[in-house]
Amino acid sequence: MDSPDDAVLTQLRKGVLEYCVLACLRQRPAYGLELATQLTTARLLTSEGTLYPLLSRLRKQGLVESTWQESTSGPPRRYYQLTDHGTQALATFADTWRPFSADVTAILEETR
Amino acid sequence: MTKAPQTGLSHPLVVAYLGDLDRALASADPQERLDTVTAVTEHLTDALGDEAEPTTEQVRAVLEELGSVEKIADAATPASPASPAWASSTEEQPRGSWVAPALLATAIVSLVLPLLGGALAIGCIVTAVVLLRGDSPRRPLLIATIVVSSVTLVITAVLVLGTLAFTSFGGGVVTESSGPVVSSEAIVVTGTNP
Repeated sequence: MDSPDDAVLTQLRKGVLEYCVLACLRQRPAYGLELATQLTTARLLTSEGTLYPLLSRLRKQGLVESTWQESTSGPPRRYYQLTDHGTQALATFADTWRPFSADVTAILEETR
Repeated sequence: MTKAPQTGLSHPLVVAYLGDLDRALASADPQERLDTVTAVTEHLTDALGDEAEPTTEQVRAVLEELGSVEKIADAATPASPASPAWASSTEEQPRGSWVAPALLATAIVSLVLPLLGGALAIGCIVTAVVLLRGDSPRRPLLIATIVVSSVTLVITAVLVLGTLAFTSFGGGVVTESSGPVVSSEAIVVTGTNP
């Protein structure tokens, strides 16, 4: 059973996780384990496996695409990368998120 | 030999986990189910690949990081088009899943068509290779299509070569024997008339 804190966090993560995935891919493509580790370290993902249904949806929406690349330490890896549509969606989210988070912080401070 | 990744994936706990995951995703969107199981398998290959023989503790630790199969299934879109957010993506799904079986069916039909089958087989092979390079989720069906089409091509090649050999063998005899006969008759006719 989740604590009230966990429940709030779970809902907040659900709303922003797909954009956090897009943000992780902004600078360069990444493979699944790499992305999962990065998001888990940032405490945005609690179960690495839940990343994969999300990546499948992002791919279907045309926000992310995947390609196979040779690996120096094993079989070829599937790398995920942003599409132009994904880059645009991320930019729109970032433009919306900054004033939104500032508004939330402001209302929380004002009503203390 | 690249045994290391196979060893990790063949660990009983991994095999059981992947089976449980596939079953847990039974009611998820079919494309998402396939993508998820494939991606989790790749994740495990990367996480366990460096270990020649991962210990049960190592496997447990990797599976724990992945999370329970129920949690992963909860993150997937249900198969029914109940969620309007993914309505457009579910419309694309049947098209992708329809092509590979249809291609395999065409390849099988090409087996029983004597010469047209060869042309069909070439088309099937080209399409299957293009789809395979495009990261298609139906890889086994596409590979089966290539195998069946290759068999058709071999059969067609044997038929064509056999026909050509028979035609050139039989046709040569007729051509060579008919020439001199006609010309000798012509000489005879020419000789008796005056």
